[in-house]
Amino acid sequence: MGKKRIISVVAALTAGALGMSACAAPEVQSNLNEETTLVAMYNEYMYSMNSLTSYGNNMTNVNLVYLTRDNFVYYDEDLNLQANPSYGTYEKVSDNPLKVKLTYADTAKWSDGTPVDAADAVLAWGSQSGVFNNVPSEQLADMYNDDYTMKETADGQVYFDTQIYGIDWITEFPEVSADLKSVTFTYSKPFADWEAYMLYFGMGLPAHIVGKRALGVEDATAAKAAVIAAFQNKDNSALSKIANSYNSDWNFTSTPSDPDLLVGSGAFVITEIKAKEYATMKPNEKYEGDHKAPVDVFTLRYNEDPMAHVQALENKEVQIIYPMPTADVLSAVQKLSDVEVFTDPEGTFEHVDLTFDNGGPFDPATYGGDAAKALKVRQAFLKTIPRQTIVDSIIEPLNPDATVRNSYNIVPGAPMYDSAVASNGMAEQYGEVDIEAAKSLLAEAGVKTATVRVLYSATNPRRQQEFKLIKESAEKAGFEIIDGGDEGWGGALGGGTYDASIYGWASTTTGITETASYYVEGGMNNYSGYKNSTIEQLEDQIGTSLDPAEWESLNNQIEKLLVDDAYGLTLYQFPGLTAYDTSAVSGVNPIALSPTFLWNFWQWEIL
Amino acid sequence: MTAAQNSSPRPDDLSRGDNAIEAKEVEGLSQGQIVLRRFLRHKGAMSGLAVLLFVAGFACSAMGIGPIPGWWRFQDPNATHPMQNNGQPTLTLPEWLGGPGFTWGDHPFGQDNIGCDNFAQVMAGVKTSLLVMVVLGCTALIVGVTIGALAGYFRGWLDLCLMRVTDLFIVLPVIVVGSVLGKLLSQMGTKFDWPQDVVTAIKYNMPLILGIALGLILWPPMARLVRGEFLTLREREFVDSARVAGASHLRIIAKHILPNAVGVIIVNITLLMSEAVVLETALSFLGFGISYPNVSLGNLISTNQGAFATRPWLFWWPGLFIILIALCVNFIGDGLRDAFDPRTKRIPSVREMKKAKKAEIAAISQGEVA
Amino acid sequence: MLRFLARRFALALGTLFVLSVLVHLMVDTALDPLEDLRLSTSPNKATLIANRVAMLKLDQPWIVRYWDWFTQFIQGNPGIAWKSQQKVTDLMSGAIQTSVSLILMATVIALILGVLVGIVSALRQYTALDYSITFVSFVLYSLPIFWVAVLLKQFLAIGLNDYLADPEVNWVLVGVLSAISGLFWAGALGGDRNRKLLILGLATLVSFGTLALILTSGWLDKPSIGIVGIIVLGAASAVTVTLVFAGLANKRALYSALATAGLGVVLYYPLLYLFAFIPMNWGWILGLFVVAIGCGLGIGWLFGGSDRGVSMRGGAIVAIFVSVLIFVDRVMQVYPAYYNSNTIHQRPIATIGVETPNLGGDFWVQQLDRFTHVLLPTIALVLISFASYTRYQRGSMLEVLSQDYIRTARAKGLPERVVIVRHALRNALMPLAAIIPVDLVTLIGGAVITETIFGWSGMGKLFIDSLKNAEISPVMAYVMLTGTVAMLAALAADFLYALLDPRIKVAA
Repeated sequence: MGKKRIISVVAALTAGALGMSACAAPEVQSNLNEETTLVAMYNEYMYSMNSLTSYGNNMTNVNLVYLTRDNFVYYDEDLNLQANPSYGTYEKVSDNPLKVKLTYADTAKWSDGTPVDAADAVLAWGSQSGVFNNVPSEQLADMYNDDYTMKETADGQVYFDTQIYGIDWITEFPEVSADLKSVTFTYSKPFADWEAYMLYFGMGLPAHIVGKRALGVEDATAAKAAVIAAFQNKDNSALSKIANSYNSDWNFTSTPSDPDLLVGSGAFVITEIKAKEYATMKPNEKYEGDHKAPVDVFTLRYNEDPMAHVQALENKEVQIIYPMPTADVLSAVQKLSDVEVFTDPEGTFEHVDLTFDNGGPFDPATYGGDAAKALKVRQAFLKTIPRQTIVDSIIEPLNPDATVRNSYNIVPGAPMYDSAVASNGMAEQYGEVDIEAAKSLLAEAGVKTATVRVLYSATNPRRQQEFKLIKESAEKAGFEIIDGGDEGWGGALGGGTYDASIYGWASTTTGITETASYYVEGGMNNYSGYKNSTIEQLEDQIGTSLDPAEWESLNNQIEKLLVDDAYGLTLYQFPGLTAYDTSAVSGVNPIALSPTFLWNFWQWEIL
Repeated sequence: MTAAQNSSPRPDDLSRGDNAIEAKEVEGLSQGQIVLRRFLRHKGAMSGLAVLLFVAGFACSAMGIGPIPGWWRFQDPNATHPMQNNGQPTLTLPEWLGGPGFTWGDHPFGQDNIGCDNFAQVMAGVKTSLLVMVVLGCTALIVGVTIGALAGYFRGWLDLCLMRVTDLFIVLPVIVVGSVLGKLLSQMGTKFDWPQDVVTAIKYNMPLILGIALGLILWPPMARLVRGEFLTLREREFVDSARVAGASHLRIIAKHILPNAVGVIIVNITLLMSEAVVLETALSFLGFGISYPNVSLGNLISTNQGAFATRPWLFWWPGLFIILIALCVNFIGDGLRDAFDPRTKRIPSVREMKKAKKAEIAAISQGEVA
Repeated sequence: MLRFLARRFALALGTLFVLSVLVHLMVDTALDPLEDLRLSTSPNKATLIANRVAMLKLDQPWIVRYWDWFTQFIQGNPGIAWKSQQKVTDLMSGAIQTSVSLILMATVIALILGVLVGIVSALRQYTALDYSITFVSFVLYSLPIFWVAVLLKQFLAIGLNDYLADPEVNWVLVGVLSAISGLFWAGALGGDRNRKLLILGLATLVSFGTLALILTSGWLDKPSIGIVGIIVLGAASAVTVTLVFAGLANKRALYSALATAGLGVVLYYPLLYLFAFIPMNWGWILGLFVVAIGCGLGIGWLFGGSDRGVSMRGGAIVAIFVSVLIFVDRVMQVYPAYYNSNTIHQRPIATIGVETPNLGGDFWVQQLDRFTHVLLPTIALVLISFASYTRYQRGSMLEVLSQDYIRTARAKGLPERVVIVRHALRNALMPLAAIIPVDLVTLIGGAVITETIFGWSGMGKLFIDSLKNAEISPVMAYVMLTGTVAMLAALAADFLYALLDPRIKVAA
């Protein structure tokens, strides 16, 4: 081939190509989603859509439930309980016996079009009251899987893995109206917080899906009827199946294969869950209530690393973050522009609990039932806890006004707090670290070294530091402290594998009876194995009193007893840290209670 | 590539001067002296060695070795101190670097958020890293050289086994095997119900134990190299003559072959040690290496990575020292390789060439005169 | 040949078996599934322990547990992660894809860059350039990957996105970068002082000009290569490939390379229409890629001549290059839409995760999204792997260059290009076949850390999580998979080695 020919060929090709460029290239179609989107980041990944079981009871699950299931009531920014008539109404029919009538609105619908009605209320009551459980408590431990989910029970054995204080006072099957639009519950004794506890009725599962999955009834109406019948007739065979479905079916970490499990009644429906990474939601097309979704796609991303939250916010990958607050994270997030930061204290408070029933150093059984000896060891340990140092070094950088919380039951700043502090004695006895007193208490008890296993979240840097400080101080008094940091600490609670635990209680309601379940024997949150019959009587009195005036003196008595028993210590109110991108969204305004920043999602405005 | 054509060295022009210089350099020197000389001339290696010795000496003298206390005022890296100036480093730059004058202060590298002294922690971490590095190197050296030498010298089934075992070890990433080992070490105590004091002893001597354990998985490449070296050396004449002279196997291995393989061994062990520094920090970062109450550089970075944007000193100092140590060891290894390898030649500078040529010419002319 | 393969295969299977025994024993000893119960003093501790012991057969000798695992495993069932009750296959299916894409990309990039830089470093031994490269590669080699990752997130992702949002050109930085590039080229191309100065000046100017053009013309907002870019780059690649592998004097090779580039240019628009009308997937892309290589080979064959192989090889390389250009160009076309989409918020480089949730978009958008997510982890992996390739390639090239046959080749007056490319390079590349499998294993190890930091739920993270949770099945699945990959890579390397080096007998 001659050089010229080659050159001419190349030239021709080039000319041709250039000529072709004159004819327009095809339009680029990208098929990108055009909807408005909003991404929030949370620090724990979801693992259950039934947030009422002891397995699924976690803030991260409560959040998703809040977004996807509508409710009778919600808390506003001043923590006042607000009604939501677009879902349903409730009224007190009589004081004695306490009777409450729930009426569902016509606009209350599940996302598959089935109306929300009395069947769902019956299921909520049946599963939360514990009235139908027939598994003896000593067999309970054998009923859990290693991942702390429930095993399938044998036919006829019924166990719902939920017990809500107060709802278990409704022992009689309710009056259900024929059209299922309303239902009337009768409490066996007056219940102080009945109104706040309306929350739990909306958080329940869709009865028709439970009926379909557990009893195999395809038709929604028939399934509802079957569920109601099972509870009404105490049909243990059917209830056993319902309980199994209730305990296990809604536990998943990625999109379940059965879309029925994602049926909800709230503003959003879940479209996709990617295990440990994110959950995306779209507006529920069937939703006719007042709390409308503000955005076409809402995504909750999950990441434990607080710095990753800040970097993702800075990089606009997410618009709202809720990282575990540390001083570093706060100052990093304050440096960002176009970001509003909230650091108000939250409903959660940190506390140290001691275990009374595990044969450890704080259990009277260890000393042959010598309660006085065990009490002294407990007091000695509590006296070494450097509460002020913990607050000063860990919390103050986050919230300059932070103080040690000195009441078990009352939030600092609440009307009853000062009176509780003045009378319970926590501040006097455990206000300052007293190593000498601890040593002499141990000597009095005749205990040379007590080995204390401390459980805390191994992935939570703040608790690591708390542990370090407590360890350093307690070892001075002669305690041997074993590092029980555990990534799965939540599931380990109540397992008896530790003698002391550091974690937080997140209040979900403002109810005065809320804390009863920590101290009452068999209470759902009594992980300490604590027993005191006087306290149980007092709690009973508070719980059945419909008169708020009586609450203060009763509560002071309870707290005094707890301090005298060296039950444990409260440390501080959690400083919150929520930050959002003001250029992307407005109206975010976190409250102290769960679901914190999500409470007013319908008021958000996407910019 | 045309450029390469023009600028490539012209071997023909160089060879005479080149050889002359080399010949002159090694005149009357033993092999060991030649190697040492080459090593001492390697600027990178020498600066690496100097810096490494300085860092090691500094860290050990600051925090003490064994029973001897160091000069630093805070000897316990886990102790907390009152917070000064938000934990900022008190180290200040000297005036000629634009600082307010050089001061050391109470906490030159700053404090973490509960008041631990970062200087004490970083120095303790440096000590840990060096300890792991040396222990690991020694373990791998002893095991690798012994097995490699035996396999290469005796061959047969031993050799076969060795080759299969090395196959095994290079199949899995070191970090994976290391994680399993680290987990194994930290679990053994409770798992086998060992007495509490044994468990505690393990906990406090974790760096030592981890070094040995990692050495036990990192020896195969070394053994493989030594074996290869032995395979060729055992066929050489001097080995035959030793054997004919009635030397025992042990004597032949130790006195005749090993000295000839020492270059490969030293170079390899240095490279292994540089790998060890990074490996230890990575394992500690993942939580399978060294943990509280021991302090390691990886561990420090892992706990402080959240502080990166706000208290960068907690992040930069440990990182800096990891890099410094690994870099120095790498340079030393490079220098050793160059020094031991007869094939790598230092290309002499133009000035040296001219000088050599002159000397050569002078020698020739002198010879003519004589 | 078959016997060789069969023998090696049997050996690999044997090694894997022994590996499974050893690792299972080690992991089985290391994990303590009773850990949480062991410290328990709860009243029914005995029952709890008994249940779990029965479930996991902890009361039986280790060999029983191994045998159970082994028999299940060879039937294709890697077991269940007992704590979460999830099937290992379910856990792994997504994780494998995530990890493979990361590791493959990092290997290829590190290999190409490392080898090129290593060769340059060797050819310019003991120059300032060589020293700089040595120093930089040692620094990279010493970097802890988890430390780099944190820095990358802050400076590269957030810094670059900040720049894109508010592009204010830092001319000092541009100048410094251009000067570095100039120095590199001057050092790499070498020559006497005048020549070096000339190259330094030219390269600095060209770099500065290119950077300035890219930064000021708004190219970053709407990046593309376009038909003109493909013509220019295609022609340049054709000339370079010919120059390196055949010499410009070989007209047939030059013409076949140019013709291949030309064919790519001609097909540019038809391909765009194809992409527009048929939804793409990886099957299509790989198919087209194979067709392109076939075209390159075919054109080389047509031009033929006495040395047909050279032309064909050149054609194929140019075809690969042009295909990649067209692919990249098409991905770039969706960039403006991606950049402005309301899930991206004009900050394309991501700091966490594998993908943007709920992004939507077609094949091309997904490729772009993958790219923006894989960028940082890949850089972290490449930085470290690159150093070892550079050092290795430099050493191997130097060794070859000091061989007698190179001296002979030079002595008989062969052009330096022929000496380097034909005689030296080929032999210096061969040992790479031995190092790639080893490095692949190192990279898989590096991915363990990278995935943890960047929040990727890949195989490495699965391994770490399972090890922490005392679940042996996923750990074993990970080990066996990694072992198999490493074995296959080693096998492929041996095979390649045997093909490349006639001295190695295949029957060995």
